[in-house]
Amino acid sequence: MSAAWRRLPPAVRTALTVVAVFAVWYVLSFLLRASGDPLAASKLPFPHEIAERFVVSAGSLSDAAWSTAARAVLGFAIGAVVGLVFGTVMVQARWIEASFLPYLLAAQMIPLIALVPILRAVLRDGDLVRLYVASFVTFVVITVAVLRGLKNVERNAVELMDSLNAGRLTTLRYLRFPSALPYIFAGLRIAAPLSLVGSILVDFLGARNGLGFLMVAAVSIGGPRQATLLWAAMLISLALGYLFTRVVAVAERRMGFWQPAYRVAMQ
Amino acid sequence: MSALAAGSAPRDASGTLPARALTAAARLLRSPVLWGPVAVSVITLALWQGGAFHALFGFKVFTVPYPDRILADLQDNVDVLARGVAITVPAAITGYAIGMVLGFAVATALVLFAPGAAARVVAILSSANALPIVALAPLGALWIGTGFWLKVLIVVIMTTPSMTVYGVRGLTNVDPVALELMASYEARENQVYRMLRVPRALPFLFTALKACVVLALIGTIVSEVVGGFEGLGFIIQDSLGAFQAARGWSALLTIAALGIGWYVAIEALDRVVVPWESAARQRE
Repeated sequence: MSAAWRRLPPAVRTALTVVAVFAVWYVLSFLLRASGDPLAASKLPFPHEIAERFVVSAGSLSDAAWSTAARAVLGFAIGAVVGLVFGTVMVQARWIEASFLPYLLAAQMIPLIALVPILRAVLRDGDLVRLYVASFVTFVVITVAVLRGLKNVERNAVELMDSLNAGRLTTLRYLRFPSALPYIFAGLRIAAPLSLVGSILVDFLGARNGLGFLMVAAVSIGGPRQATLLWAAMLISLALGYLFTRVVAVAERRMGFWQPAYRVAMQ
Repeated sequence: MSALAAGSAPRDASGTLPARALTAAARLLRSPVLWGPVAVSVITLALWQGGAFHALFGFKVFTVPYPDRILADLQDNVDVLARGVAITVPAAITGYAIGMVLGFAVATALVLFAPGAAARVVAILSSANALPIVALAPLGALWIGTGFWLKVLIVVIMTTPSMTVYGVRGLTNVDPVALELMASYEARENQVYRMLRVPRALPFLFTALKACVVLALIGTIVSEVVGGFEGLGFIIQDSLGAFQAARGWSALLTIAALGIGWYVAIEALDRVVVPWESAARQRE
């Protein structure tokens, strides 16, 4: 079975997997409905009902996706740039690093989402809150990643740069940044979906538009017809998250092709 | 971590014990590791209490209270907050424990039985981090109702993929030469797993364990903000709605303390279980 499976071309294997997933979905959905559960249509709608919803509500879904994703991307970009700069500054002097590092580490241990109700009360604007949350989450992750990366340099390489009388900037440009790249990308990979989740959570906790808002609206209005909207918005969020991560992964592959992970095939 | 490093910095082997302790204390006092963070805190709190932020950013006292008000509220409401902790923490820890075990089991199964698919599954699971758990929360409530088990379910869904991703990365983070060596010894797959893969994966597992602490708290708190009527998340949301911002801030402080305490506990465990890796990090 598995040998025959492996001989199939990848495209066919993918197609068969997709067909199998949908088949199982239909069966489960049908069984749930046959069991007479009054909420069956909301708990697990048929795939074609969700597909129909994508077509019927294409306008409001794409509007919502845009207002959520645009803030997430913008916040991600702002947070990444600020984090890069701040991380680089922190490496320059021992006292700067020592003064701020504990707070950065602590910020990663605290569920920042708990800040959202407070931020909303202070800023009174859903879009601004989304932007703040997305960029702050990214900033914290990236700063720590940059710091780790810039400090994790081979001693011999530093000594070589010193012996060549290379200045601080030259060392940063030719040694520290390249060797920090894997760390920075690891941070970006973590932060990309987080910025999206942050943005969606803000939607959920009281914004007036966005994917999260659609989901809440679908559930609080209730009924099986709205439930498909929840599923559609959920699938869009999943797809967006996957897209974000893929973009970062592709960028990493192009800029960091020398990393061991890409040299050695996964065993 | 760095504070400890400074505290146990090169010691004078000669000299009496009190003298050495004095030298170490003096060194610590002079080191920016101690006074840096303290200075940041003191300056920030002083500016906040002095009203500089309120003047600068136009904060209102009813959304951003002064620190002394928050402290007073914290003292007045110890019992309310303690009840919140008693609701929030057991759910978070139960979900965390289940998620970690489940995630590692999945990673092991992938690496041992479907190594070809592991990379693809990891890519898909990484994107699962972007799944808005809030969207699952109402859906989960449809299936199993609100309350303790909804929080557990959400936390399990949030933490399992992270553990699987780091588990697979760790278990496959093996030097090809080491694999060849094991092959030349005719080591069986389960021996390779036990003697090579798991030890190599330990640092990755602890990374996941640490990263998931905050996820567990987020999952629990979001479930509470969304569909609960008790717990710390509910207290924050409720207080700000009721114009009792100081209560919201003190609940936030409690959550922060929980997150830091939990993380520090895992970090301590990390040092005990993977001492070689912690030593390497200290040298950095």
